[in-house]
Amino acid sequence: MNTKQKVFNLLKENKKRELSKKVDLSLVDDINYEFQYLEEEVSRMSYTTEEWFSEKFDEFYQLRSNLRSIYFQNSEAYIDTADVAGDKEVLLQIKVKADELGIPVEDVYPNWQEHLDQLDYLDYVEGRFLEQKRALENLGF
Amino acid sequence: MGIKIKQVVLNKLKNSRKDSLSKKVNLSLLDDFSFGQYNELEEAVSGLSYNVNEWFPEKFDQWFDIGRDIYAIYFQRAEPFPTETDFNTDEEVLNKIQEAADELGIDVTQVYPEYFEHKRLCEEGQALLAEFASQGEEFLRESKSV
Repeated sequence: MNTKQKVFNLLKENKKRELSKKVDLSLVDDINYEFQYLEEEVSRMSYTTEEWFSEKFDEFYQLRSNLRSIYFQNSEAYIDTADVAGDKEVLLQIKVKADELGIPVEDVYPNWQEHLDQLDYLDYVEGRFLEQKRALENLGF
Repeated sequence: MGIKIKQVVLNKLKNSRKDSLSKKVNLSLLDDFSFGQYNELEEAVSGLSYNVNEWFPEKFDQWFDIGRDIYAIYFQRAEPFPTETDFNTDEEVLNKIQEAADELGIDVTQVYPEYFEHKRLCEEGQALLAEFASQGEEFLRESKSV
């Protein structure tokens, strides 16, 4: 390559560099996100969609399924007041008999009072269960 | 002394009679409980009690908190990500840079060295935004609530 050609090439390269700088100044500044910042943002999006969401949504789904199963599908088949509808009457009859015999009711049935208390407690917890079920219904269950 | 012995014997007989009567009542009525006697009932109620007083509050809170976190990020921009418009704007600018470089007959990376990486990030970001939107819809379908 002769000297003339070398000088010509050099001028051409300089001109290109100068032009590229002009383009650079006029357009690159219009980019919303600097490259490194954009890389961080996309990486954050990637973590959220590919890891965080999957993990959280699975937990969310599992908890929802468990709640639905117990509160709407009766999976645990808990006792309810209908199961013991006649028990208070039986307790009352035991008390009447004991009174007739003139003996304390505990002589007939040592857990008479606890049994009665337990029936009242069942009323209470069943009421709470139904309140919780209503709360779930209100949240779209 | 004789009277005392007589009284003791009488009391004993009375108590025996009471025991015998209470056993009769016991046999005739205690079997009528629908759920068995106290211990069986207590065990059954305790399962429901645990569910209502401990299991539900714990699981409900966990479920609600997770739902709230997902909702905040997916619908309230608690973690603001670049938007579709941001990526589109950048892609337009990148295209202009490419055109200008072509007009000058120079390589686009001479104008903007990270041109290709930036373009790839825009495409990746747009795909992630689509996935993000789809996850938001999936969440709404499953929750219908939070």
